[in-house]
Amino acid sequence: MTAKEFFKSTAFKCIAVLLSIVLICGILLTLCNALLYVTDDERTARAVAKVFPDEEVTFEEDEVDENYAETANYRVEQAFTLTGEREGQYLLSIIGKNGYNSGTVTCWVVALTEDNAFAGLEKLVVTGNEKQSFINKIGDSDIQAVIDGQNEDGFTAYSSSGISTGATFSLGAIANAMNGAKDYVESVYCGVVNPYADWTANTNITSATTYTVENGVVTYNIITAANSPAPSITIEIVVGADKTITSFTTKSDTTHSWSTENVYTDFAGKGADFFAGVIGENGDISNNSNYAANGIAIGATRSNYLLLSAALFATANYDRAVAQYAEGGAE
Amino acid sequence: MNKYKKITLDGIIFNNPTFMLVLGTCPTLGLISSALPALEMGLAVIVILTLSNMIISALRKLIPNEVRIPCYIVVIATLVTLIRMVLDKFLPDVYEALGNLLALIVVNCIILGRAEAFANKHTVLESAVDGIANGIGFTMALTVMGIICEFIGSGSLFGFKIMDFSVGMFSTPAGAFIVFGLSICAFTAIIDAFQRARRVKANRLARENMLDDGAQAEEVKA
Repeated sequence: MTAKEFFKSTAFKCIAVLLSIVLICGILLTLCNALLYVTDDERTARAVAKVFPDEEVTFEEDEVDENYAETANYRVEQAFTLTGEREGQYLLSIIGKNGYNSGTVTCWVVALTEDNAFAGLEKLVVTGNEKQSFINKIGDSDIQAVIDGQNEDGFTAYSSSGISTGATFSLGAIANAMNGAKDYVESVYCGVVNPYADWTANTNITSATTYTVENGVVTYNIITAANSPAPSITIEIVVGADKTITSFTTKSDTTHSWSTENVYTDFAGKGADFFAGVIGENGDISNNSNYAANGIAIGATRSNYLLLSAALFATANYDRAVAQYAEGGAE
Repeated sequence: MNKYKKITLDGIIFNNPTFMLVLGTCPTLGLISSALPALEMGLAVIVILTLSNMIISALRKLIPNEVRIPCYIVVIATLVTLIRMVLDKFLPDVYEALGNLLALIVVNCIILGRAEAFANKHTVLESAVDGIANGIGFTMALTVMGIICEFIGSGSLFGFKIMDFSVGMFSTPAGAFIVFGLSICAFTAIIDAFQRARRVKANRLARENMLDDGAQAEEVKA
C-alpha cells in the first residue's frame, strides 16, 4: 500500500476521526476542569457549612497526628481547631469502623474541651457510609441519645442502653467514631498520655487499665474500649510465670448473655500464640476459622473480640509488665 | 408531527428503557432505595442522553462504521465527566448523593443503546426528542420505584417522614430488586391491556370499514 492509498483508506479515516474526537473532547474537558475545579479549601468550607448550617465558623486546619489517627475502630481523616466564639472546640472528620457487614460510617464530629480535658461532643453529622443498608433508620435523635449517654467508658450504642433503631451495627460504627473523637482529642489536644501506647497488642485496651506483679505473677485489671454494640468490659486476668493465663474473670456488669457462658474458663493455660491465632491479623474474628474451631463463637462476636484482645494483651506483654513493675513504672 | 409523537410515546411508554427494555439496571437497583437520588439520577441521564444523542446524530455521517462504538463512548464519557464537574461545582449535595453511580452513566446501556439504535440513523432533532423521551421514561421509572421503596423501606417520601412503620429490607438493593420485578410486571400488564384494547378497536374499525365497503360494492352491483 502506497502512502497515497493509505491516506485514502478507511483505516486512515477511522484513525483521523477517532483521534479528532478524542482531541476535541480532551481540550473541552481541560478547559472545563480549569473553570469548574473545586479546591480543597472549598470542599472543607462546604463540609463545615454542613455541620454549622446557620453559623459562620472560623477554623484552622491541623495536621492529623498519625500516632493517634487510626485504631481498629476508627480513623481520623481531618482535624480542625475552631476559633473565635468556638475557641476550645475541635471539628474532626472520622470514619467509624465495624459497622454492619464490617462497613464504615464517615462523620463530622464537634468535640468540646474544658480546662484542657475532653468535655463531650456537641454534635455529629453523618456524611457517608459503606455497606450500611439500614443507616437511614438512624435519626438525629438517636445520635443525640448516644452523645447524651456518654459515661466514663465513652459512648456506647448497644440496645440495652434504650436506643433501638433497627440499625444497631451502623449506630455502633457511629459510636466508634464518637469514641475515636474522644480518644483523639484527649491524646492530641489535651495531652493525655496512654501508658500502653507502645505496648504490643494494645488494640481495645484503654489507659484506665492497671496491673500488679507479685512473685512473677501479673494480675491485670483490664478495661477495654467499647466495641459497639458491645460495651466496655472490665476483666481481671492473672498471667503466671509460664506466660499463660491462670485466671480470667469478667468483672463489669453487663446484660449480655456471654457473661454467663463459661467458655472463658477454657482460656486458662493458653498463651499469646493461641489468642493471636484466634484473633488473626486483621481482627476479623468472625471470618477466622480458629474462632469457631475453639468453641469461643457463642453469638457475641464483638464482646468476644474485646475479651480476646484483653487476653492477648495480658499474655503478650507479660515480660514488659514484669520489667516495668520492677522499675517502679506500674500504672 | 405524528413522527415526534410516536418517538415520544415509544421512549416514555411503549419502549420504556427500564420497564420494557430492562436497560440501566445497575443505577436502578443502586438508587431506588430513596426517591430523591433516583429523581436526580434520572435528570442527569436526561441531560446526558439528549446531548449524546444530538452530538452522535450530528456526527453520524462523519464517523466511520468501524469505529462508531469507540467514538460514542468517548463522546458519552466526555459528557458524563462534564456533568460530574458541573454537579460537583454547583450542586455538591446531588454529586455526593449519586456517588460513583454518576460515573457509571458512561456504561449505561440506555445511552449507548439509543446512540446505536436511534441517533445513528436519525436527524438531530429526532434524536433530541428520542433522548428526552427515553430520559423521561427512565426518570419516571426510577422515581416511581424510589417512592415505593422509600415509603415502605423508610416510611418517608423525598426525605420527609410520613409514618413510623417501615420494612427495612426495602431500603436495600434486595428490596429494590423485588420492587423492580413487580413494577415490570405491573407496567407490562398495563401496557399489554392497553395495546390489546387498541388492537380490538382497530380490528372493529377495520371490520366496520370492510362491511361498509362490501355494502357499497353490493349497491354498485345492484
